[in-house]
Amino acid sequence: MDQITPDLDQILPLTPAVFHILLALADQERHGYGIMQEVATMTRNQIQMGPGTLYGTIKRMVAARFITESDERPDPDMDDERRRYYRLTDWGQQVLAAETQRLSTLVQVAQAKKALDVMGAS
Amino acid sequence: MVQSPSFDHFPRAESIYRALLRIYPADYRREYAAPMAQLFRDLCRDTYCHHGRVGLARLWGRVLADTVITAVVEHIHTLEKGAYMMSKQHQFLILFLSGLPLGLGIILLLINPKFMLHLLTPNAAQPVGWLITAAAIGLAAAAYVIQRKILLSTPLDTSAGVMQSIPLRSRLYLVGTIAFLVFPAILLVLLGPAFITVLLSGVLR
Repeated sequence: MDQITPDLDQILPLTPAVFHILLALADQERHGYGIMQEVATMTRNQIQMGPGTLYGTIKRMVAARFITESDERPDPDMDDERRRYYRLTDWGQQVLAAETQRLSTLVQVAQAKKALDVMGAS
Repeated sequence: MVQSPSFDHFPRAESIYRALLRIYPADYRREYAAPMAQLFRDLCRDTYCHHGRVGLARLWGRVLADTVITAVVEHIHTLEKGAYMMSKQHQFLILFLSGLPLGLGIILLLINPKFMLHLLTPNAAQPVGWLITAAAIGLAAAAYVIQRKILLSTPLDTSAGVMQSIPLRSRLYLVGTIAFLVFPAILLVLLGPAFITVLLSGVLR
């Protein structure tokens, strides 16, 4: 299926929900609840997505081909076979890398402007 | 630490949540209702284990807000896709409801144009007129509710496609829907009381 891949500049910046889900799936496939737990762990419980937010975002990410439903189960014996697992696509990995790069550049700018000095002084 | 409950510990909570999921668009429900219900069950189990009943109450608050907001978002997305279509039968019904006040107005003009214009002026606001106007507003509101029900109950099967956005079509559809709602409502409010008053005056004369 040939689909036109949109320009990265048109996609970035990502919404926080999309970025965190991409990041949660960066190292391994996960099901919905696994993604939610990983996001909560990564952000020290600062971001706790509800089921509606999670699956609404997943729906749009699948449509945008950032992620795809996985046929395989990491451990079929230990898991409920009805669970849906998701994994990053190649395009999703590119998007994640580009967004991470963008944020990294922003952090460098912030450091150059000594934005973190206030925290060091307190 | 609270005692770890089994999977069947929250059947009522899950059934309430499943009922709540009905506010999402039908195609979204078909695709995601089952995993969302399962995720909610997992959330209930873990929240109860770590935070007890107070945690569950907080979870409900969060989930309710999340569900309402995201349901609105999903309905907007579905409308943007132009996924809501009316059947021909429903289109004729809406056309009839829209045409009714227009027909009333034309008949009114033919019967007595001067009297109709007189009734439309502010000094014609008599108690009976107000009551009839209130009834007309009620009818218009009921027409709106019925139309929304029709729109929301007949979605196309979009589960096979992915976000095929048709902006011009969906915008035209939205404009058409609003016109169908606003136009008859205005006409009903303006012309309905006048028409009935003309009929009454004819009877009482």
